Amino acid sequence: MELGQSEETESAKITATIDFQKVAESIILVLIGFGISAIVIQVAGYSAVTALSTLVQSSIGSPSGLSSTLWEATSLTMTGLAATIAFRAGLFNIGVEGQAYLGGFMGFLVGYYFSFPTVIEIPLVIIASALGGLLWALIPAFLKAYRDVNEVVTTIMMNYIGSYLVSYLQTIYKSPYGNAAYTSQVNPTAQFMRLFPWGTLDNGIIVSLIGLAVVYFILWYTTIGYSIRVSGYNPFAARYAGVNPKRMTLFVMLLSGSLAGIGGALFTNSSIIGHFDITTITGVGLNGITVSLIGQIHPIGTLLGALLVGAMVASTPFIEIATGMPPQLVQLITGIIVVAASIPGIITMLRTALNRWRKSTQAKE
Amino acid sequence: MPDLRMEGIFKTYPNGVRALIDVNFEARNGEIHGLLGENGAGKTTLMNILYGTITKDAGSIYLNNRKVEIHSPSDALKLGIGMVHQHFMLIPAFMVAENVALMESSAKDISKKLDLNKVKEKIRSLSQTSGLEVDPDAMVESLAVGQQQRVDIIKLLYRGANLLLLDEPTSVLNPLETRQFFEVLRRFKQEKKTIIFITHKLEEILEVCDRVTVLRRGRVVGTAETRGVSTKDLAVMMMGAGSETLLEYSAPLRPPDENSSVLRVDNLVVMDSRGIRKVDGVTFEIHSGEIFGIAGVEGNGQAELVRAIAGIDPILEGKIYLDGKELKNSRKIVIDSGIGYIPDDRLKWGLCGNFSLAENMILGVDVKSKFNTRFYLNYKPIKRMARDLISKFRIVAPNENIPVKSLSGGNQQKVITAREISKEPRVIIAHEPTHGLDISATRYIHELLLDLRDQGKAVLLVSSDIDEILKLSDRIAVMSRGKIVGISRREELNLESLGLMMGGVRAK
Repeated sequence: MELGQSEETESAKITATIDFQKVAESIILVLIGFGISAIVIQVAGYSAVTALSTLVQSSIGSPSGLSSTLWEATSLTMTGLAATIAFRAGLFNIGVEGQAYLGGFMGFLVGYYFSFPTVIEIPLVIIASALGGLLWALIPAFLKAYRDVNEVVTTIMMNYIGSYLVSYLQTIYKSPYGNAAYTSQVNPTAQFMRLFPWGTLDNGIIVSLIGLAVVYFILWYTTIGYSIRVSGYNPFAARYAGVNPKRMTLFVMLLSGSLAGIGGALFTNSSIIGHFDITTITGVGLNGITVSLIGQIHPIGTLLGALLVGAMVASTPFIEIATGMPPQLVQLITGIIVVAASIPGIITMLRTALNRWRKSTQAKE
Repeated sequence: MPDLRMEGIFKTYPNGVRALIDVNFEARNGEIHGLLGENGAGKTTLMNILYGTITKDAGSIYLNNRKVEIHSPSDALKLGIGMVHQHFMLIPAFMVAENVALMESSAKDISKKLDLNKVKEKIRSLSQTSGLEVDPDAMVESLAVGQQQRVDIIKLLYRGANLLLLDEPTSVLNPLETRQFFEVLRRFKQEKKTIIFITHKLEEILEVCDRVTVLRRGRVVGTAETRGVSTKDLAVMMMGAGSETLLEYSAPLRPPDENSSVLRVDNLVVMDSRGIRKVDGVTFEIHSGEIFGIAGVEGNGQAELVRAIAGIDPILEGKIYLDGKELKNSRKIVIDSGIGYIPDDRLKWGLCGNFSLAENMILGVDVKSKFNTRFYLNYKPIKRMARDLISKFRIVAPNENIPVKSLSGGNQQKVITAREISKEPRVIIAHEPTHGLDISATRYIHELLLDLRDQGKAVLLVSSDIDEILKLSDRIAVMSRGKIVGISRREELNLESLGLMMGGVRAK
């Protein structure tokens, strides 16, 4: 009794709203990340002021900078959502990377072979890429559901297989121009459309925002989303609630794979790319996992995380030029900021994992 | 030899709970001193302060009139103070001797070689003198709970502790083991060791303690010689005046409808993941308007039996019938067929701690029929239902949006009970429904169960609390090693015959 009354003051948390304390937490950590980066830059003998002001200037300080940030964030939001929904169910889908490759390649194939009007072509690209990602999640999903094989191991393996597979496939569709390693361009109708003449941003971002709304709605306004959250938070309560763990694992892994696949196509079929290239698409999925952690495994947080990481990626070349820093050093400082920002997400994830582990060891007694 | 005195101890937890308020406590050399109080009275906090696992806000501790500072268990052990917690501090994958060797004060000294044979030798001699039988070569994980407890005590003796703090040591023991355990305590007393014995069982205090100190809500109510007091006196001290009637009430017995068979379990066999038959051919039936109690020491297959009936654990052999029709071994089907289930471990099985109270009100609920939805989850009617249940079941919560883990244990249990009753079930399974609850919450849950019975429901009550079984059940079965040892009508049983059955002695 005493306990219940004393803790009543704890902020009444309505699960479906954003927790502003968490947002503040993340912002402070990002600032700390900036601080540490500044020190590193200064110690390495470059101007921290130039570097950080360029970072801000080139990511949000100009229309074209802002546009590139948003463009980067478009595919990252989608792969981030893929990671988020899996994390919510207690699944560690590291395979978003490989699923994004396959999705991206499927998007390319549709664009390469068909040239329907955009209104048909783009949905086709999306469906095909979702199928590609789903296909790549299929084996880990079944192994996890029916043989309890750790999904981290299998998805990492699938990432390697996927990487080599698309590397090979892209040579079949190699661009005839010059000695480029990447594929030929897709038909223009299969590309997302530029929104503004002065930037790279295209209407793929609408797809990402729809994805966000869908994931949000599923998680908090559907019975299946409720089951997903229960399964991730407390697998025993999920069994108590009659959730079929096998079907849940399959559903979430395949949904996550589909989202990751679409994320891949948002990249390959974007207005400024339009071809498949394994070297440029690498990281779209893994960065999505980071984005999800920065966003504290919340769909809206995922969007914010995607904007942060997008800004980092977009400004990297400008920082190199402005300061003369080697690219590795620039990556180091963006890395510091990203790691700082994802600390709360990592902690939540570890805590959940520990919680699950504790409960499962109790069960053995 | 210790004469212990604790003076003016204060402790407030970071969450604002005032656990101890100006507590004065003393224990004499060579006595068994009972520390009695309801859950949350501050017993364990006081002992944890003495053992150095919790820091006090104010106050001082004297040992033989000398002021001592205890900041950690290792300080306490150096002073000869040892504590046995409710959850044993043992490494399951180590053998007994290795666990005991961890107490070696030189264990941190890497240069010194550990002589395990010497440790085993000492364990054997300690076993002999104390009467605590343990096999130094046994793996801890292979030991029963009672044996693990002995290992935990031996560890302290090995370290030379002569002031032993025992936190609810009998809660894991069956009546027979409890009796043996008390013999050990008396032997300690002869050796002039001081024992502080935490419990909330009144009879145990009178049986084994010389004196008793009663705590209530963080304050000392008083200390008394046990010779002159009765269980009733202690109960009054523990709960405050006017509450002595609580202990006396027992269920009004109303003949259940013996022609009906609402739930029938037929020759059920359940195996655990290691292939052990945890439930080994259990058969019983429950009539409408009846509470069927299954007593037994925890770990004798009750949990597996309950989970199998609830459709969570798979059934190996046998069948379950609801109203004469076979009930499939599927959690989903059990939920949909209207069986309420109050699981034994609130936060493990029955709740999602981080989720709001309202969200927890639909855990394991057939939302399809209750809210007429397959896919879309509309929170309006769910929150409305949660608010109704909060007021109807007197749940102490500021609103329905609060995370359920911030409620007290009693209120968490009320959330589960309210939810399961609100399903309007034909059958309700209550597994340890009042475990860890204080008296008022316990009484309330009991009232709810009796109410259900009077409405003609069939209630399956599974509990290791004998008093609870005797208070509520119309018929009582005892489970031991996966089998039902005997089933009797309540009026035919008494505490003694029940205790014997729980020890595996078959009733006539």
